[in-house]
Amino acid sequence: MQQWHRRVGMTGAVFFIFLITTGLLLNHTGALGLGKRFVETQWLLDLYHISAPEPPVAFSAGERFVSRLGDRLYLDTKELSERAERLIGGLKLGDTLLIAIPGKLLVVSPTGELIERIDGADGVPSGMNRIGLTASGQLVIRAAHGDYLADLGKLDWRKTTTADVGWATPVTLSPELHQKLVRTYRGGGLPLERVILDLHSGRIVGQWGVYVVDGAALLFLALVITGLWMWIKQRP
Amino acid sequence: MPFPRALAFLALATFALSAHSAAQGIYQTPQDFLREVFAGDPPEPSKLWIDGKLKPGVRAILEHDLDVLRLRYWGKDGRTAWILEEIGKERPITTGIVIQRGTIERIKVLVFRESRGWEVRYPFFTDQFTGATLVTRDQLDRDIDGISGATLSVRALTKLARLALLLHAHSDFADGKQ
Repeated sequence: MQQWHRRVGMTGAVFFIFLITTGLLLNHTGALGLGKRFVETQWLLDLYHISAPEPPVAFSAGERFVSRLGDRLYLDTKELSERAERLIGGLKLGDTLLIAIPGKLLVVSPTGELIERIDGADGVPSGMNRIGLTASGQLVIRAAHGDYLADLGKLDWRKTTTADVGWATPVTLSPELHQKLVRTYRGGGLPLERVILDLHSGRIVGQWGVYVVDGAALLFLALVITGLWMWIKQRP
Repeated sequence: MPFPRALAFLALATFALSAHSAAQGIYQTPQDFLREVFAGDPPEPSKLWIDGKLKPGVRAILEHDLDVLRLRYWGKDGRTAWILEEIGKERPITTGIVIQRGTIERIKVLVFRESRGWEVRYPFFTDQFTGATLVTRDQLDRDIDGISGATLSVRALTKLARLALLLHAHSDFADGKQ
């Protein structure tokens, strides 16, 4: 019996260490911030079939690029806090960047922080579908009922018929930026907690992984039974 | 299901749905609210930056940070008007709040998007805030009576009232600044 106990212990040792480690990590998910840390390892992301939707919609805003991938918005590769189902346009306005999404204008700092959200309650014309700048740098919005000259300082929206507007038009991102964006998008899709949970249960390698972990659990049970058996036998 | 019972069920369902949709809606547009507050001639909006000095107070009241760095408000002759939003249960409640010399002059629910708790729009509730000021730890100087079934909306409006008073104190129209 002692020999069997040793054999089972030696066979299961690696699994036990592995299960104990992952179990301890899962017990302290909150303290370790595992739910907020994301996996960036490409083969792991491939394993989980996490891919970026194609293609991104992007606008040039000065020397920066505003883009949308899925429902996420990015300034270059920095993800913004706002989500949007569509990106209408993006441009540089003074020291800030202006991003138009359905019903809203987002004023964003060069570091990607949301300064202000201007929406219908502030008078943004309904049905906004384009934004642009006049030659003198004034913001123009094309909406359902025509073009409006916008003064964001005063929240004033005046109808205009000016034809001299440089409309924000979609651009194609450079392959490098596109790749970085895709990596950033994929990198925000898989929390570390998910991976450790799947390692712990064996699901990371599919159903066979679960059977292997089941086998380890049975080995552990055998260890307990053989241990108890020996203890009972050795009692005076 | 016999026909009359099916009809009664349909009528009840229609009534419940119409009551639900009546609870949500735009009661007054922010632009109309501002026109009303400033007798048809609202001033140009001013901007208040939520800087490091103001941020802890805002966080203490809302129990979370604002997701923007700057807010607009409208001020004239020691009065300020704020259009603020806070989530009751799931969706934001847009509220217009007027502060005069550190006290609440009026508070009005402008847009209500939640499916419950719309009773907070009625004057029997909002009138409780009239004349309220901030005392220690950014609390109101009075207790606000709740409404059963509208606890989260009451909480959201109370937070916004406290926030507007705090923001007014940091605005260009605060007492002693003009």
